[in-house]
Amino acid sequence: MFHRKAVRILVVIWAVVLIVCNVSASAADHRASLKIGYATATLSKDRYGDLSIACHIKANGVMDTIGVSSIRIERYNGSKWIREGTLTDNDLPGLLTSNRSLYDVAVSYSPQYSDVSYRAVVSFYAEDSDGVSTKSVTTKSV
Amino acid sequence: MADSSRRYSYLEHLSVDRLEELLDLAVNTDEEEKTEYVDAILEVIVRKEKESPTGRLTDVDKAWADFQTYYNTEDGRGQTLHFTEEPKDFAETKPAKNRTLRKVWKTVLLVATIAICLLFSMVAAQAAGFDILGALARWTDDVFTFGTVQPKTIDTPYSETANNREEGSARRTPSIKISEKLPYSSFQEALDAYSVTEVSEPSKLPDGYSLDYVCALNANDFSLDAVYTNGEDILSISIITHNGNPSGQVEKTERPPEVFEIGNTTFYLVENIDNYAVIWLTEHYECFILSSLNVDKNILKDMIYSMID
Repeated sequence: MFHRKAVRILVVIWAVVLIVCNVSASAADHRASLKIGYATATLSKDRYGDLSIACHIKANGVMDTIGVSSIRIERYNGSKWIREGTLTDNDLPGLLTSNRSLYDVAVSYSPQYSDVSYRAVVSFYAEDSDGVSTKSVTTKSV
Repeated sequence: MADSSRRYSYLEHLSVDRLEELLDLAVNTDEEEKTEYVDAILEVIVRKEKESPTGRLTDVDKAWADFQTYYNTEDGRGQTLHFTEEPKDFAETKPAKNRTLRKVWKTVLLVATIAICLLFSMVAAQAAGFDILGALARWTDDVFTFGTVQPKTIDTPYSETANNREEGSARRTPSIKISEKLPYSSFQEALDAYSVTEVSEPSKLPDGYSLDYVCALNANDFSLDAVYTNGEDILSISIITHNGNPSGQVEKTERPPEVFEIGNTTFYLVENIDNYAVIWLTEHYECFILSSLNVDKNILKDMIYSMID
């Protein structure tokens, strides 16, 4: 009687875990990329309080244009994330480059506030004669 | 009648138990006077029970009242009168349907409690600095990562590209550092120059491949890339400091990664639409190899083995 009850409980737990895992994975809603093989962005704060956003993108071939199309700086106001600023290659020449298969950039940004949490939403970009691939990566907050 | 009374008067002197024994014997005989005899025995038993009740005779009125109260009810409809187990106190018996629902509800509550406890344990461990979730490689049908799976990559055919670049401006003037090509003739020279000991240059390369250039970015994060080419395809090896939080997003098709180990290091080989990727972690670096599908997987693995040996 106890054995059957224990087995029943374990089966229900396993079913719940499976459902949760599948929901988490499917929430990402992905498709493999034609051009971008790898992308990552990290955020850190230096000793002066400035934000450093490091961005790395690797493509599966030489791209006509590759790099970062924008970096959106967000700060947390206590209840939600709000945009403080957006950086593009208009603001920062060098976020994008040409005729490369990989690119790494690090951007230093002075935030408006020193005692709140910040994060960056980085949009990666890779373009060749067939079209464009874009990928958005949100960093952890600092 | 008077004759039978006299004939069976001796029955008055027998006990009720003895009368019941005679009754058992009487009902199984074929004697002509059986009916009269049985009636006489029953008459004596009834008279003796009324004088000194032992419970053999049922109170008919009470039995009828019990039947109306406990059996002839809506709950008793469809039930049998005969029970195979000890009779229960009918006043406490609940309908079978309610009992089942209460059992299911108790089980669900128990499971939910256990699941919540497990979840909070994991959260507490994460908050205490034990990166339980981050220590696991994870992947979906399209992305592999040692970090958190990020939103999808969007591929747009050239004919549909209009304004893919976001317009905007920052309030403060930021600065930028970009990766620079290095004047090294080999990847190992660059690794030595930056004191990287966790990764070595491959001693075996796929046929026709040679080093094109090495570049590095030295900011809060450090990254080092070596790009090889055979004139058509690219093969790149990259290392990036992860500071305990690897977060690289590796694009892949739905096939699960092929996992292999060399020493204490676990390598994950994934296939994308047009490339293979191999990813692994060392103590300080997230390492990544990107190669064309034209490179045989086994040759790629040989190259990796030559980086470890």
